[in-house]
Amino acid sequence: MNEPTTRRAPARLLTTTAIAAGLAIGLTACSTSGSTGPAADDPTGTAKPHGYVEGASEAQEPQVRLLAVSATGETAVHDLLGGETTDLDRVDAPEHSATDGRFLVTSTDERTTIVDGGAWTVDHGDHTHYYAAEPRVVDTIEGGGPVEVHSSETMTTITWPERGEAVVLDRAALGQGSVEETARVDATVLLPFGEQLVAGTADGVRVLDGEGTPTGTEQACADPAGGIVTRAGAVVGCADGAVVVDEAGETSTVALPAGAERPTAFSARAGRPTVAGIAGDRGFWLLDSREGDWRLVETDRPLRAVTAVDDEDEHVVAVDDRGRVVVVTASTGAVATTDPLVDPDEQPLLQLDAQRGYVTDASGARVHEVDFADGARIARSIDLPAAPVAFAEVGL
Amino acid sequence: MRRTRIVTALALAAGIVAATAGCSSAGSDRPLVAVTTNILGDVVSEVVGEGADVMVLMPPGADPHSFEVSAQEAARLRAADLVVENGLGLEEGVARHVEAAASDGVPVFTAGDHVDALEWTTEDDSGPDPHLWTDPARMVDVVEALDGALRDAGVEPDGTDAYLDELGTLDTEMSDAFDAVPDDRRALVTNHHVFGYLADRYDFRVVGAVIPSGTTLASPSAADLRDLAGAIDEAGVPTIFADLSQPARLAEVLADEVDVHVEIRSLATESLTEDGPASTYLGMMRSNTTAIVDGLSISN
Repeated sequence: MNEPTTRRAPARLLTTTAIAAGLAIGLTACSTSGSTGPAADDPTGTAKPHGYVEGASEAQEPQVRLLAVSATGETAVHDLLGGETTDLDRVDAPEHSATDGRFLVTSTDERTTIVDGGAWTVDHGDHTHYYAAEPRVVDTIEGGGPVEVHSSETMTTITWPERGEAVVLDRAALGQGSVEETARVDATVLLPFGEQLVAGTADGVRVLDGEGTPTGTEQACADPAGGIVTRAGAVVGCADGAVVVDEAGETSTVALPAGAERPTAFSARAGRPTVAGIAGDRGFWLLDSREGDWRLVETDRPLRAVTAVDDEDEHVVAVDDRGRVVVVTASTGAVATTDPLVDPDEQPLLQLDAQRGYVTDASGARVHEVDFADGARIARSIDLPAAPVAFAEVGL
Repeated sequence: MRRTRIVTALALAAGIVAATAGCSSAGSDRPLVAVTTNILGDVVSEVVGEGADVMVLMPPGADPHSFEVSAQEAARLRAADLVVENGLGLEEGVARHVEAAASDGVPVFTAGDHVDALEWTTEDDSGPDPHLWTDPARMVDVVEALDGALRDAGVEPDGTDAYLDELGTLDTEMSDAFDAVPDDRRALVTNHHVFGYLADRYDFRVVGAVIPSGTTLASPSAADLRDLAGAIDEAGVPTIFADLSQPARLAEVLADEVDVHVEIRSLATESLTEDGPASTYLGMMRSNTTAIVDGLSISN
């Protein structure tokens, strides 16, 4: 059964004689307490893996869930793997919302509420950790208005662009259920990036340390609005383009063509370097934050929401002003459009992961699951207890 | 993630009677060797023999990337005569404790420093591949270097030669077993990220693929399975190796949607288990070898 082969033979090891079974080898099992054999959990020796949260467990695959809040503040979480829906505590009736793929942040004009979806992913390059914990309403912060949220492994930033204010929260503490503010910054965009912060301020884009103190790195940026963190860098939108701060702390400006209508928000699959933003009534922009390149893709109808998958086929998922889901395959230019699915008078909310997109139908109390790789096929329509006006896909 | 047990250094060589001695730091005057991962813990215990006490930090069944240690263990680590770590970025959770011990003057033996390391690359990133144990020949390099490091630390290892022989036997067995797999099937279609060194040693291809997970399997289409089906087709293999929550569902969907018929098996990867064949390094390697050979030998 041993076929001769020409491949490199592992000959280096074949010089020793085999040790037969039956030989006794002494070895030692050591314990700090002097006991022998496996001991019961030591109450003083609790191991806490990084990313550990009381009650959290690690899983083999992303623990994706939908977190939805109705117009009156009823909050529910739907487990996309198990199919169950669970009610959470009620929150203030939301006027605005944003998500970082774990936390959903909602706001009224007066205050802001943070809900923990209890599922998240930590990407370590060659391997990935998937966590699941109990979802819960964490707490509120004074001050409201339109809101943005972004997270790194250690920090969560919440920004209120209209008030030009932002806070930095300890993400581990937030995961434990407590709001611990570590810095407060005057900025319309604030992104955690590694151990540093990237801020869009009236004076341009500035790199700050974790305490909010400027490091001295800055780049001109008029009217900063919209930001996203990708694997290639932290991106801040400006009147005439975008500023990208890379891992080495180098800044660069990616200019839009003269007269182009700028995007004021960016969206993409978690971490991906190519991000999408609405281009006025013309369609959408794709910004490749690694290559430093803008691309305009025009659509039949103006878009209400857009996000980039940035997969091999370069899928982009959007909702147009007729309430249709539009999937553009940017690598080929192919476009697939559904029938009108959602109320065009309600702002559609759109999230996605590597395999599926989710679009809220605020008038129908459900979320449509979009298979963007299969011609905008609606894979499932998921009923929720109440129509969602704030929404997050979590576990990303 | 389970909680750490303090006592984790139990290790048995395959088919060999092990004399296990309980010991405590207070009660033993032997030197102390602290080891981060349980795979290296088993190897070090075999090499050290009666020459030292061995403390293994990572509990059975844990994830080497994310286990951490108690304050008590961390303190004991800093009092060790030698710390043995895998290195190459594997032990993210305990790296700072190892650094603390090193700055206290405890000698640290890093297995990754003694092998010809491979690199992993993705579209976005790259780095040294820490999973060197999937190649027994590289473990020979580690054990040979370890023997010297132990002696430098004042430990007289009494199992080095015997364990090198064991590793030689393992390497021969694996090589012979894999020879039974036809060249055109020497491919691991997998979502395990640890088999680069095994592939390098025994001339396998590792074919990474997007393996559809829960949400996709709820309402799948052929388009969702295109990448995986293409990889299976290209590799021409009857079995894929993957850790999945619903392996049977994936096999069913592949058959129904794209007429691809494969078995799905998981392999032992980064941690020894409390019991069973993967409770020792040699046992883990042998059970993986059997699973790979059997999986790839099924007739289509």
